[in-house]
Amino acid sequence: MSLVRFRPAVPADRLREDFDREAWPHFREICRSARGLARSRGEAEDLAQEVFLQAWKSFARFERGTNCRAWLYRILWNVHHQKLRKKVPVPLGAEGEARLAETLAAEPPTPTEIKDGEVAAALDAVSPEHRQILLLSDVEEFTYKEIAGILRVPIGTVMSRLSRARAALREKVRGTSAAAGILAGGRAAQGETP
Amino acid sequence: MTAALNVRDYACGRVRRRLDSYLAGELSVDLSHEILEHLDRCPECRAEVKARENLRAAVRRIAAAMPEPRDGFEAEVRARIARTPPRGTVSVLLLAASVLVAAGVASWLVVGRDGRQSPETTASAPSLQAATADFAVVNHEICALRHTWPETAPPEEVLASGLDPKLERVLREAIPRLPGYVPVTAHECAPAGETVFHIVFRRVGTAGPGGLVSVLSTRPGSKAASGPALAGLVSGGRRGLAVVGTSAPDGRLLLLVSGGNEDETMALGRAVLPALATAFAGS
Repeated sequence: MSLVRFRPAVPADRLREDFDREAWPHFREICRSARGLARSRGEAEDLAQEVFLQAWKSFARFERGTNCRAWLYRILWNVHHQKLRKKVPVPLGAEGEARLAETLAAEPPTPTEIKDGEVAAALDAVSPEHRQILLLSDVEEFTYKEIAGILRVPIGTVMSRLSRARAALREKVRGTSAAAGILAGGRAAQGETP
Repeated sequence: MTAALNVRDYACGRVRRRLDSYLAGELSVDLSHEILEHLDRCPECRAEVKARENLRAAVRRIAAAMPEPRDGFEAEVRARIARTPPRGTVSVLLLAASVLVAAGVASWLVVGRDGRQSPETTASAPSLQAATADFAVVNHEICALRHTWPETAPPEEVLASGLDPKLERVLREAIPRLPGYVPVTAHECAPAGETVFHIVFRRVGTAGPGGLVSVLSTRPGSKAASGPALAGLVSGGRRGLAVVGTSAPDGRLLLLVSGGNEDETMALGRAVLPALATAFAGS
């Protein structure tokens, strides 16, 4: 029979001091990350507020000495993922994933001249899951191991998801660049792929 | 010539599959060296590295340009948190109140209203012991009614975050048992001096405390559960609130408190408490 783990109560005042020291310094960063994930400022504020409320309610269980920033991002992921599940059941779809995986081996070159506005449009066009893992890796600069902890998936899954996310972003960038007429010429390393 | 191209294409493909990990600094020293050597002699892959670096830099610039939170937003969240009780804590004031309540509960359980030794010597009571009802009502009043809870259910995973896996399973068992109610919080607290697992439900369409229902579970062997086991569902009431209780096979006391009348509360208790007793026993 499994035992229920009851932790000793912590005085609320001490918990608030710890929360002020450990969690609040990351508030603005979490807000900005939430803004990168949400479609509107209001949605981002709801997301950031929910993250901090959940963090506070669960803070007695936060293991002191571990990475509070990564812990907050794990909550951000959970809350965001739950919201996504309500709105978008399957962001890419198994068929889409398979199609993308096939194109990975024969990917055309990435455009060399890219404008920030085109990248922003491409980021907006990839699935929310892809956008989130790209932000975790390329912007927040979490290691693969830390991302695995945040998303609670094996490190191999992080690598494959990131690979798909980056390929999806490059595909969107190529699309927007081509639309702008600036796609760089040149032979793809894997041959003249369509 | 074709064979030479194929060899180079194979090498390029192998390198490009690893370029992102290389740029992220996630490759081993050996693999990084292999890529550097290839880049030295392959202008196309060097161009691809440069393009991907540009793309990463652009993503970082875009993220850095995200607007800062508006003035006052942090203060709003801080105020909201100040009104929110963390799980697993107890304030000094509540601790003092809890000690008094716990002492009262213990005395009710050991000595009856008129001072006679009652719980061990009397047959199961037709209604919930006043002390047990008091215990349930104190939990409901201090935790559920004095704090602000959302009007809609948080995502289930958020609701269960931080819970012990066993309590999480029990929560998932409880959630669908009360049609017309949504769970707004699930946590451990101790407003009456004993740690209880507390799920607060809200009647759909209500915003105030009147629509809140508490489902409480003590630990096995708790003082509140130390009286005779309750046979089936037993109801009672205190201070305008109705309470239904039952004993779980593992010795826990399971209680439901609502502001509805006795019949409504009994119906809610019938819907959820036996299922929770089974869930705890089966975990």
